[in-house]
Amino acid sequence: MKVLVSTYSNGSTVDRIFREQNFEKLILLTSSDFSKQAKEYKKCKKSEVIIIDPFDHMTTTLKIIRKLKSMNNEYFINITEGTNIMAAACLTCAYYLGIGAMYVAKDQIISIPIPGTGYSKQISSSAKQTLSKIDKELQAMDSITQSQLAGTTQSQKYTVPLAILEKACLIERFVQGRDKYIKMTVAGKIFLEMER
Amino acid sequence: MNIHIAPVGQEIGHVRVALNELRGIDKLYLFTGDKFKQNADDLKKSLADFGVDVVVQVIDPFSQDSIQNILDYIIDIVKKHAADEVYINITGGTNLMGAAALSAAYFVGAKAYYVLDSRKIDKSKNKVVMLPIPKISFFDALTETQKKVLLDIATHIAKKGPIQNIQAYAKSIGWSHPRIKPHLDALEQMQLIEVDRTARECTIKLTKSAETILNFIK
Repeated sequence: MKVLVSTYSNGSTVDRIFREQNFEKLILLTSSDFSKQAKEYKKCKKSEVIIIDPFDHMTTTLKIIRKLKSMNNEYFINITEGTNIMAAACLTCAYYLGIGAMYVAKDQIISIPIPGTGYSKQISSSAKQTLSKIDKELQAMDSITQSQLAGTTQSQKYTVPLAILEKACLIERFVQGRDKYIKMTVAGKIFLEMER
Repeated sequence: MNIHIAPVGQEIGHVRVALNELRGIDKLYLFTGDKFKQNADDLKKSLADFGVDVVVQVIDPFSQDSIQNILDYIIDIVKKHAADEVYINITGGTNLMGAAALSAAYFVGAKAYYVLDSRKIDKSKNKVVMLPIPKISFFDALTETQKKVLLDIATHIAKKGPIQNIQAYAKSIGWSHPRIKPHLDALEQMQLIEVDRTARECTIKLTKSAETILNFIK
């Protein structure tokens, strides 16, 4: 199903894109300030409304990724309405997942160049497994050393995956005392959410 | 050197906040529409006293080419300052300007941030929020063969224009049509080439995404 995911503040651009590009379903992302209008708007279309914090990039991004991953559809994102942060969160999802995005300017619809590659393919499966293990271990603590991560197994087997993850900015490493600690970045958390 | 790039519209407060919060900005590139150029020029004058070198560039923020022009502008700056730290402030201007600035950050793996409006947040909160840009190259998502085919197509298009006969093109690089077809299909699926099948012969063009990726890796 072809689904339009759109930021919403007054709906001025949503109608046009929905109509012109033959979408079958609509997902509106809006703040609580515009939720009433968005829900009214919903009545006339096969759609749903997701309430987001327009000034919280991270939570909004995770919410959108979870939603889009829960359904197997062909998505396009309209970033014209709402705040710059809402647009940025949508665009972040688009780049991570490799989804098309657009902007309505005056009388034209402008496509934003997003490669359909997404990010998943560039990270090896061992690095993905390591990231997942870090996430699990970090439920109980803020940061972890490579040997704590390895537990009873050989810690060297994590050297290459950790280097890949660090180079991609999905983890950070810092020295404290005599140990080097690993911490997951926001990019790492979003990447993991995308992989789940 | 710390290089910052920022779109500017009616509001310029986000640039001032970034200067206060992220100390040590050596050079600032501002881009703006014609309508708000005066704001950018005023900011440039006021920052000269603080020793910040400011460059102002006018880019039409509402044309079909806006995104590409902003992307090219930022990628050129990043290439020029390859040895420096480049930060992109995506707060100002229209959503399109912010989106283009953020897109550039994704293409080049630069650091990007936005500045929260201090009137709307708790004073104890950090005003500058860094965005989660992974340093992952889109080009690396391709297999070695796909990379070779994409580079060959780009070279062919640069010299002779769009490919209008796939069979002849495949032959010109010593490949058969069945051998090149799966790679072309994969590149099309990744939105790196466009294949126009309306005429008798298919025409192949590079997409804006592919042009941007190739521009950066050149």
